Amino acid sequence: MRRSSVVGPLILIVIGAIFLLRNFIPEFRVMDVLGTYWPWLLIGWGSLRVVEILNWHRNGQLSPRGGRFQGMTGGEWALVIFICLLGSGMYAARHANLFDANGIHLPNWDILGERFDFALSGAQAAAGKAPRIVIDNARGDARIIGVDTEEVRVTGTKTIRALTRDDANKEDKATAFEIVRSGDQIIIRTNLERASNSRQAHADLEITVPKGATIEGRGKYGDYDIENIDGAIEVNSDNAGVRLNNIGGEVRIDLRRSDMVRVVNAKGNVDIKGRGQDVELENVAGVATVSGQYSGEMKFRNLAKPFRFESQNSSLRVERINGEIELAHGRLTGRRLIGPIQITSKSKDIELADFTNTLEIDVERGDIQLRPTRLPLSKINARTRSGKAELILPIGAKLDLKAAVKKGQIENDFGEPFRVGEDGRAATLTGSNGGPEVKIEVDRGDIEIRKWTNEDAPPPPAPPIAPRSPLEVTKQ
Amino acid sequence: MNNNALLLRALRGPLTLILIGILFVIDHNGAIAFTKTWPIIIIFLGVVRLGERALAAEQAPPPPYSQGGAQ
Repeated sequence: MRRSSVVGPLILIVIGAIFLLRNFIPEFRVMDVLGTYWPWLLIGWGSLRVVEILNWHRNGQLSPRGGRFQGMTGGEWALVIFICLLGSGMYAARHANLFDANGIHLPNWDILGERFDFALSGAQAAAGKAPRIVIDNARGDARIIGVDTEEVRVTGTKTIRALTRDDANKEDKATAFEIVRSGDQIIIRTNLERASNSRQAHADLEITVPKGATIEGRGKYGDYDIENIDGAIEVNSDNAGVRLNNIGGEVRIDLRRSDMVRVVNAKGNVDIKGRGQDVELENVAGVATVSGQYSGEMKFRNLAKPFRFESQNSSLRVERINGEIELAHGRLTGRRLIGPIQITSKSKDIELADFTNTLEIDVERGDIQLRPTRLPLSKINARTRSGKAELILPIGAKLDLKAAVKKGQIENDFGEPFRVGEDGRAATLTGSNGGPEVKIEVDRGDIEIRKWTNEDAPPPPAPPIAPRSPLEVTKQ
Repeated sequence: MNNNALLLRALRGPLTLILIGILFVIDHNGAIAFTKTWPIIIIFLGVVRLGERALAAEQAPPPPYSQGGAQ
């Protein structure tokens, strides 16, 4: 007769022990350990079965009747597949950042061969004062600088991973660097996608171009640093950090992933789309639009024309930013803004100081703190479904206040002419001394209205940060 | 089917399991991706089947005519 296997109970014991460990030792990161070492579970399981079966065999317990002795049952195979899926899922989740951080420096690269570097250079004379330049470099960084010249000049390095020098040379030939004129365009092409394994090659380029050039960059992975260009800039990449400084024309950036987008001193419109982490705009003279999902910190400073930000959960419109807006970690702070201002968000704490013109805020969850500093006030309409609303008014403010909470309290430290009315758990604060309408609505939470104290005085405007040149930005 | 063929058939499952585990360990060490190495499993199963056949053939039943000759 066949005894049932010892492995099933053992697996239960191991799983129980792992979770027990996790509960008693918080530093023991069970998901990390499982994500890395789960294949050993399969190996251990298989080895135990082998030992068991050899044992049965020696004792003559293996019998040809029925399918039961087959080592592994269908149910067990199902469990194996489940473990494989779960394990590789955990592994991918744990190591995802590795791929995010830098797709071309994966650890297995060192196993797949050596690095071979090839110098790149090329030039296109008589390009004119305002050529259109297309940079097609699948992998690698590009630095582009506009200078007083009519020539496009490229220098750089191509790095190829290969097992032998011969292989590398072959790959180098297959991916010959080109700089060609096609119609009114000058195309700089690294042809890396022709490599037998395009992940094994990347090219870093330094390009000087006529100041009046228009630049279009395309790539899969690699950063763009562009400086002193009077024409338009267009960057389209799967994964790129983009830093622009001193741009005269329109800027359009479309990224599937990025760690950083920074645009400083742009005269034209700026349009940023896609996904990424940090976004920074400073000194933009045109209309600025940022849309997509950004997980890092966003800073918008000194934007002269209307600014619009759209993400899945939030949207923001401001006529003009004289000071700055910062968006990070579920918090929006802004100061020295010119309205009309419009903010809607699912979940965000909002803190605005020194704003003019009408203001409209609608958040589902989050606190609102408003500190208008200039008189006369303008119309304000602020609403949060859950959170605290705070209105800090300058002395002598004139307004027609309509504040209401459905569930919560209202505190009036401003005094006359506002009066609190209570009705069960709801409360209102109304009154007018002849100013514009200021409406504050809170579903669950508190409202507080008060006068400025010295601590509330707006902080002096931060001195403008000198724009960093892309060339000074050292690469990590 | 003789005893050795039986043993090999019983071991087929656990050995495959160990092989899968090893391939994933290699994958996680960053050497060669599982997406590239998985056909090894199929080859392995084929080799084991061949082994089973060979072992089973060792003890094939005697041909029928051997019973007819004695008279």
